[in-house]
Amino acid sequence: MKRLALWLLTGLVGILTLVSFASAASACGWVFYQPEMPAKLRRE
Amino acid sequence: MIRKHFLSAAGFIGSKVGLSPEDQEVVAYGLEVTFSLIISLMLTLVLGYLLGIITETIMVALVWMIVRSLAGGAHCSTLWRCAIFSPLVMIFLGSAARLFSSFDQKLVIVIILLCGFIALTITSIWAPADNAKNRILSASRRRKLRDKALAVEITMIMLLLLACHFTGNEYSSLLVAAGLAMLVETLTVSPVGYSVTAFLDKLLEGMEKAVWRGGEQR
Repeated sequence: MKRLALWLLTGLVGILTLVSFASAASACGWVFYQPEMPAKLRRE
Repeated sequence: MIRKHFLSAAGFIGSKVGLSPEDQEVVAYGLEVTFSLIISLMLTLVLGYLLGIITETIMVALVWMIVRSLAGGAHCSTLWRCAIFSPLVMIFLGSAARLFSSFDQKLVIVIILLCGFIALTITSIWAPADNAKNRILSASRRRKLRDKALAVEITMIMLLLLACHFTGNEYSSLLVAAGLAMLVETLTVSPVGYSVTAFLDKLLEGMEKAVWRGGEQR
């Protein structure tokens, strides 16, 4: 059970990281809200 | 304010999976983006369904997000204002598309051409729109995004015109919805769009404050 939860959380982290990268690569947020971008994703 | 909750949720997930603080911030950002998208889309689809314009609303949302990811645009300052503003704009466009679809096929073609022409003009002048939270500082990245936005818009206009030619008036509400979504999304890239969005953001902020004050008095 614990292993399954860990497996699911890892999958969730993967999906959320993918969403973060896709959003950072876009010109801006897809709707009318743009969250503060983390330093790791910022291109300066 | 709400960012704190996403950070603590990411902290919880990170402690289980073993993420560094920087990676937890990336996960929190992903949670915030996903949450704002789901809230806005859910409200848009529910309202669209209740008003009987679900297909037009889906078309508007789809075109809106594709063009916005490349051309950018103005933003509301909080997630909740976005959750109110995005569905209202998309529902308004869906309703307008339903209204215009009753027009003659030639007029639908003219509407699509007009929307496309204005969208392309604005994109070539102002896109990609900059915003304080996601700066586009590199000139080459700006050029790439603008070129991609123009290419996507030209492709969309061609597809809409072809679809209008081959399907007649059968799907004209969907075609007009796509044209209007492209037009209004690119309008938010222009300085006028920024001013209008800032004004509406302030208006919603005033309403928010009035509601909170009302709650405190009670």
